[in-house]
Amino acid sequence: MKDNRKVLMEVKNLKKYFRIDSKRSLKAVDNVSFEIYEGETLGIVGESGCGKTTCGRTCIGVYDKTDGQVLYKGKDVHAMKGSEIKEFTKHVQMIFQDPYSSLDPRLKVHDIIAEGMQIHKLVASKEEEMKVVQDLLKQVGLNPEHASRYVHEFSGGQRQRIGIARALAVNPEFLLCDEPISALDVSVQAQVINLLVKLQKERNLTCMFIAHDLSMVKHISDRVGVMYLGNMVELADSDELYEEPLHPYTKALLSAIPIPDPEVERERQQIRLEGEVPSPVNPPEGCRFCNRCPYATSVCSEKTPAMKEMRDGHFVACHIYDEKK
Amino acid sequence: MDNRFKRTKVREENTVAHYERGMCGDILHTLKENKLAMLCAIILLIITLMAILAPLSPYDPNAQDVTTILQKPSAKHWFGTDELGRDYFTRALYGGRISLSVGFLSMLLSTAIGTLIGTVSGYRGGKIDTVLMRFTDIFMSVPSMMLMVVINAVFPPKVYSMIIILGLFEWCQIARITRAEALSLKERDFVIAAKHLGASHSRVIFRHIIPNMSSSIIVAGSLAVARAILTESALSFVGLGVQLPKASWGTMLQSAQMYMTDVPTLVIFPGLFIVLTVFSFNILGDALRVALEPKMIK
Amino acid sequence: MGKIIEIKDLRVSYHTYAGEVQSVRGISFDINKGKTIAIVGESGCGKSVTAKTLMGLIQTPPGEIKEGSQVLMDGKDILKQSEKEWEKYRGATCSMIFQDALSSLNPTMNIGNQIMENITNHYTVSKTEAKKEALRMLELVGIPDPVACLKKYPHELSGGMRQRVMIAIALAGKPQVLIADEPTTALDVTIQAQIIDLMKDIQKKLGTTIILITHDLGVVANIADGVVVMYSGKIMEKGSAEEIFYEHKHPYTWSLLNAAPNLELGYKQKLLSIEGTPPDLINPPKGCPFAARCKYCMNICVDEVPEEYEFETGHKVSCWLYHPESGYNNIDFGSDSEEAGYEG
Repeated sequence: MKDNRKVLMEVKNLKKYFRIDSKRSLKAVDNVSFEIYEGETLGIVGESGCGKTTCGRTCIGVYDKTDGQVLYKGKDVHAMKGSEIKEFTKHVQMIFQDPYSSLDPRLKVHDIIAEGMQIHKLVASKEEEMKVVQDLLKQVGLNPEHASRYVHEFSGGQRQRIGIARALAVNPEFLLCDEPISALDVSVQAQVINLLVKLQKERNLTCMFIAHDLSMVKHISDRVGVMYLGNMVELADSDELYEEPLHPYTKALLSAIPIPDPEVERERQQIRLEGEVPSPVNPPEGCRFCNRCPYATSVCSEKTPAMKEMRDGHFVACHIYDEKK
Repeated sequence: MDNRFKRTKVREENTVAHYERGMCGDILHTLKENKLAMLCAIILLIITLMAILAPLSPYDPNAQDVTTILQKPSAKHWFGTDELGRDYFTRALYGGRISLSVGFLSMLLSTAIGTLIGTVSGYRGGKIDTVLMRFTDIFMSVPSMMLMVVINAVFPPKVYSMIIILGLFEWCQIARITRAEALSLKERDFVIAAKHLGASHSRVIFRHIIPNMSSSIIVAGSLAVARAILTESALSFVGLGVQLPKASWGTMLQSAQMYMTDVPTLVIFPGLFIVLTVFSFNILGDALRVALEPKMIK
Repeated sequence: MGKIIEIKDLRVSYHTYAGEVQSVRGISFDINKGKTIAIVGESGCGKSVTAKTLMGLIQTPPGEIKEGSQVLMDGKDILKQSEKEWEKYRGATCSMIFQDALSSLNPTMNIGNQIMENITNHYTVSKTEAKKEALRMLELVGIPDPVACLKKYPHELSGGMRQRVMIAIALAGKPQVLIADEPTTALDVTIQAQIIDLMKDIQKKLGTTIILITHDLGVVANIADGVVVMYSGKIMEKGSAEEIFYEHKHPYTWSLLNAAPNLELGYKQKLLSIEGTPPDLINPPKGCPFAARCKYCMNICVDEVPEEYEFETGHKVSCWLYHPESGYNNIDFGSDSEEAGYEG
């Protein structure tokens, strides 16, 4: 089944370090590899500071890479020049986490949405532009008459819809959703997720969905990758990942999700992780998770585990699953 | 069943109520709250209006009349007359025209230069930033007053050359302010979004970055007007600014020094105009800073 | 079990340039000693304002606590306290921890001094005793190597550790009531679980009454004895945790519980969503504030503020559906799929 799917984006050993001073650097993304197939949604989960946002932004060329390669339809994203970059931005768009800082407060809704069309000259006339913007507003569930208003008149959820309309205005194939709902209230989160799912179906979009909320990622993704401190520790089909997590970190993460049910919550055995995520400036040697892992052995602090395919399409980076000696 | 308990559907208007007033509304509101700032705005308005309407005065500002020299203020000559018998009130109005237009136009020039250099420097960063900022630093370390004295001594000063010279020496502070703003704005998500939509650098700068720092520019601009008026007066006072017989508040002070003890009004009136104008611009600048600060209603 | 706090008809407004924002519009509830009560609601529902009122942190102006509001702490109306009494009260009777630990800690003071400050403010003890007490507090909140921690500054600690230190500072004055305003929102899931465990543990050891302010119902299920559900400045429903989670009567509570995704949900199955946005508190609707977003909305809901109906002792719901004449007394949410909010 895997073979007849077309790879849209291929990430190979991607590294992104931010320089702090001449000696130290922050290893936000360290040696991450994965593929995104056409039409699928890849979820990336992890705690704050695990490098998921940096990874997403580096993949679509917002940040320069430090090392490795990102291929979009076979083309190296970071080696593109001038017109190639412009063409690339037409195909690859993003949705931001913060609905307040992601929209220019000095522009009207119409101008925000139409910006991409103006840059890529997708519309021939003002009238056509107006029509497309109104269409888009309708598609994202806003009143077309709101096009002439400024963004500060809208609530968080409505702003997020405007952000989605802006991204869709250039008819992208690939959408990077960077925690699009974590700044919204619970009752509004569902509105935005439903909208994203609907639009994805209608437009056959490929999505990379970044979040720290595991239940939301499970809901929307075909496959899920779990990141910890700049590394990808597990990657699997979403159902499989949630039913049979292999990596100790994934297990702990799943177990820590609070469940809105007092009885279940009192009964269930949770795996409690000790300590906290170390600083990405000097991560532990070997496996990044070794100092918090309940199963850590001496090999874990010496050798960085490689990604291994345990089952069909289920990858994990952990020494537990090394060939038994 | 009781009609009260019939199911119904309420469709509320789908936006948040509109309570924000926009920039002009914010400014007006602050003026209403801050009585001193309001007073300053009114003073400035009156001075500006008087300067604009100066030609309505029955006197010629440069017409000399030896019969009426050094008169005290009276109903005929409101501010009295000067040593050449010219109506002092009319001269003060014409002086205001020069002082205000020098202040205002040089501010426009310095703001334009400063904003452009500061924004490009902050937005592009790297080598461009280093070069532009060192250039600004050098400009700031030059003792501008002395240089202006030298330039004005070499080239015969005209009003427009005053404007250009003042503009050229006032932009550094605005460049620093706008650079700092651009540095923080370029990291904002909406700028990243615009760049990722394929927008060119100039589009990002002119459409997204500069409009979003307009409030800082307005504040810096109002203070720059005050500074420019002071510098112009000082230059004119030492005789290197606007040339006689043209009146500016500075030149009026200069020619009045000799008669200071006899007719103190000759010093008081132009001095008062300078103080009031500069004071008002400074207070207004502060009020604008408060008015345009980002705020929230929660 | 005695009541420690009784809030009666609390009304709080903020005067902004746009008009009077009625943040809290007449809420009443009691808190029993040694229990954990959770105030749940979305942003802007007035839950944080309620907490601030309990701590005397409403600045007037722009805030205003309306005439007739009463907050009784052990029978004494704290709203009538003098500033001196407030100073004594804060820290020794009632303490608060905040969402953002980094900005709530003093960056220029080491942890030890910050804890000792709270002790010496309220009790006359020698410096060595205060230090000993500070150490005990740090041990209590589970800080590894508390001796070294005393000398550290806030920026040297990680997010979870800072939140622990905040709790240690809050507990140093031996308060009867601990108010936790979104204590876990800024933390990661794995750390969040640690902090919740810590709070449960502290309550067991010290018998502190905890008021937990949160928007996350998952956190509530784990720790709360009682739950108060707020929406745009009013209480929609209050009751024990079991009642709220299993026997909820208010459509808003039901929507809130079901809008949150859970792991049982199918792949890309449509989530239940509450359409629309919360009402504007400058011009609040005259009827039920939730009416415009409620799929069970009736004519009366638009015009009249709902009465409070009591079910079992303590389980109260403000909703017209439970008026004897409404005909919907035994409503089963979610069963009538036609109206159940699956947006088309």
